Amino acid sequence: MLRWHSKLTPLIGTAIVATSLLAFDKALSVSTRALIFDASETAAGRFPESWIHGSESAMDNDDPAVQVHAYNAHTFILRENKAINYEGAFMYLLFGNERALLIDQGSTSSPALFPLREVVDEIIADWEAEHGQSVTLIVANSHLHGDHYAAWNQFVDRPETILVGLTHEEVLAYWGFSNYPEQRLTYDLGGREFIVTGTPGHQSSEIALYDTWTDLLYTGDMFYRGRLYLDDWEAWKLSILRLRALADDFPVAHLVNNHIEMTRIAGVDYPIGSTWQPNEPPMEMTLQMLDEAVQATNEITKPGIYTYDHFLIYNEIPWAYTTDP
Amino acid sequence: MLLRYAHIVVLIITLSVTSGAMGHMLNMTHIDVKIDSSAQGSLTLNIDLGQSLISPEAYWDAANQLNSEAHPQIRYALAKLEQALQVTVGESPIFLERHSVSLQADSLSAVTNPLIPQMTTIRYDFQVQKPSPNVRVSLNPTLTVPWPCLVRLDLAGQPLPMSRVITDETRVADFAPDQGTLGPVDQLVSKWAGLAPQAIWVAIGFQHILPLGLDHMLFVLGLFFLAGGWRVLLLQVTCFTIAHSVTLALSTLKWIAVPTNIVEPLIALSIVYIALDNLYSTHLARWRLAVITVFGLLHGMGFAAVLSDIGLPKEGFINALALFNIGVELGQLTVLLLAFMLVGWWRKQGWYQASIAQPATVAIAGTGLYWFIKRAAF
Repeated sequence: MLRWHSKLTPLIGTAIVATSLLAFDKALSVSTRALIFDASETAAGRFPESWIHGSESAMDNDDPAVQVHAYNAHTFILRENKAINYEGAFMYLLFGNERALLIDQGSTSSPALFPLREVVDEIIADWEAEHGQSVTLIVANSHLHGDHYAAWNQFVDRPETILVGLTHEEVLAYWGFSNYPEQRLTYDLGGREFIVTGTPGHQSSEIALYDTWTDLLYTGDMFYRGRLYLDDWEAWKLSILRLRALADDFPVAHLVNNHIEMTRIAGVDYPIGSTWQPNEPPMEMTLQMLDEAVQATNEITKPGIYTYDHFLIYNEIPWAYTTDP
Repeated sequence: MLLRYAHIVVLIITLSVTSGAMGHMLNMTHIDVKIDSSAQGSLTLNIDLGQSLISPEAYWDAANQLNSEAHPQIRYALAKLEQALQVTVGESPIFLERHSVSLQADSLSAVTNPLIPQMTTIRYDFQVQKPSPNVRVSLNPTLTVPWPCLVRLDLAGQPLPMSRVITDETRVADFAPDQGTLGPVDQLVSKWAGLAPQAIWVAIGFQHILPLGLDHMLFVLGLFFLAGGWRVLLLQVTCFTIAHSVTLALSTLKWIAVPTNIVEPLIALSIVYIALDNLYSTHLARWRLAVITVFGLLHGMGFAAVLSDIGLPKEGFINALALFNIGVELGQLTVLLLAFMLVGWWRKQGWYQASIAQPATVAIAGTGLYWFIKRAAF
C-alpha cells in the first residue's frame, strides 16, 4: 500500500540505498585492498646467489635456524638450517591483501631449536606495519609428511590463524576439492590468486600451487632437485602431466619446491643425511627440467632407481635403497 | 661463552634425535581415534617399536613368534605405552581395552633401518560414558616415540576429521574448542554437540539464518513488513518454508543442481521483488503466495550450497539434513520474533506503515538490489 508522495518514491529510495551501499563497498575495498597483484605480468623477484647450506661441523654452525629470503616484497622463502635437520626444508610465506599463506612448517618441532613461529610472526608484523593492513595466517602443507609439518604445533595457539589440518579430508575440504586430484581450483589471498591442483604420487594428499602474480609454480616434494621418492608411480605420472598442462596454460617463471639433494654434477646427489652441501645448485627449477620428468614418464615401466641430470627417481622401492657408495 | 656452549649442546641433542628419523620422517607415529554415534570408540596406534621402545633384534624375534603379543619385550613396550597414553572425553578418562596387536617385519635389516619403517599397529576399543566434543589425547613425558605424532579424531556428527600433533615438547593433543576464541553461537554449538552429537546440525542450520544468512533474514523481514495481520504473515512463511525445505533436500541429495552463480543473484532479486511488492500492494494476493513459493525453492538451493560446503556426515545423513532444516526454521522464527519485539507492537498504529514499514522495506529492497549487482556483475 503506497502512501508516499509518488509511486516513484520507493524506487528512487531503493536505488539510493543500493548506490550508497555500492559506493561504500567500493571505498572500503579501495582502503583495505591497497595492493594490486596484477596477474597479467610476471612480478619480479630474485633468488639468493646461494642458500645457507649447513656446515662441515654441524656443532660449529652459527647460522640462523631459519634463513629468510625475500623473493619480493610479498613473497618470502624460508629455509631450515641443515645443521639442525639435514632435510633443510624450504617453506613459503606468501602475502595477499587479506591472508598470508604459510606452506609447510619444516622438520623440527622444538621452538627452542627451530623458532619458526617467532620468525613468521616477525615477518608478518613487519609486512603489516609496512603495508598498513592486517592478515589472517593460513597454515597449510604441500603434503602430509612429518618433515613438512613438524613445527605445526607452534601455530596452534596463534591468533588470527587458520590451520588447514593434517588429514586428507581436511586438506581437500579447505581447498575446496570435489574431484581430487584432477580439479583445478582458484584460491584468493586477497587480490593475489593461486591455481591449486592435486599432485599425488610422492604422498597421496599432495597439492601444487601456481601463483598467478609471480608465475612461480610450487611443486612440493613431487618434483625437486633430489631423490623423488614415489609411492605410486601411476599417480605421479599423471601429476607430472598435470603440472605440464598447467604450465601450457599459464606462464611459469620458475618451479619452486622443498629440498635440494642434488649436487651440481649431473645425476649425482649428496649422500642421504648430509648436513653440509657446499656448492649446492639452485633450488628453483626450469620447464626444461619438467620436460625431462615428462620424458621419464614415457621411459620408466618398472620399480627401480632412475638417474636424470637434475633429479633421481626412486620408483616404488623402499626409501632406504640408495645410490650412495 | 655460555650461549655458545648451549648452542653446541643443542646441536648435539638435535643430531642425536634426527639421526633416528631420517628419510622424510616416514616412521612417525600415528594415533587415530574414532567415536561413533553410539558412543563406541576405537584408538589405533601406529608406532615403529623397533626404532623406539625396544631393540630391532628383540622386535624381529617377537615378530617371528606365533604369539608376538606374549613376547616379554613386546609386553614391556605395551605396558610402557599404555601407562603413558591417556584419552579423556569431556571430563572422563577413558579405559582403553586392547583389541589387537600386529607387527610388520619384512626382515631384520628392515627393522634395523629407520628408512624402512616397520610399524606395529595396536588397536584399542573403548566406551564413552558422557559424549562430548572435548577430546584429549596425551603421552606422558616418560615415553619417547618417533616424533612427530599425528593424532586424528573422527567424531560422530562432525563432517570432517580433526588433526593435532603431539611432539616431544607438547605432549597433549587437545581437541577441546577454545571457548575464548568462539563467538556465542559457536559456544552454543559446542555445548549442544556435547549433549547430543546430532543436535549440532540444528545449531548449524540456525546459524545459517542468524547471524550468517543476512539475505534469507532480509527476505523473511520482507514478508514481515507486508501490510496485513498475522494470518497473512503465517501464510507467506508457510509457503516459503515448505518450498525451501523441498529444494534443500533435493539439492543435498544431488537430485537437482543449479549453479550458485545463478541461484545467488536470483535470491538477491527475490528480496527486491518482495520488498517492492510490499510497497505497491494493499493486501495479500494469491499470486504473491505462488511467487513466494518459487522464491522459497531458490532459497532452499542457497541453503544447500552452504550445506555442501560444510559436508553432511555419511553416517546419519538424513537425520543431519532434517535437523539442519529444523535449525533453519528456528532461525527464521527467531528473526520474526525479534522483528515483532522491536517494531511489531505498533503494527496497528496509523503511523506504522509510513514511519517504520515503508522505510524499512525500501532499505531491504535497496540492499537486495546491491547484492544482486554484486553477485551478478562481480
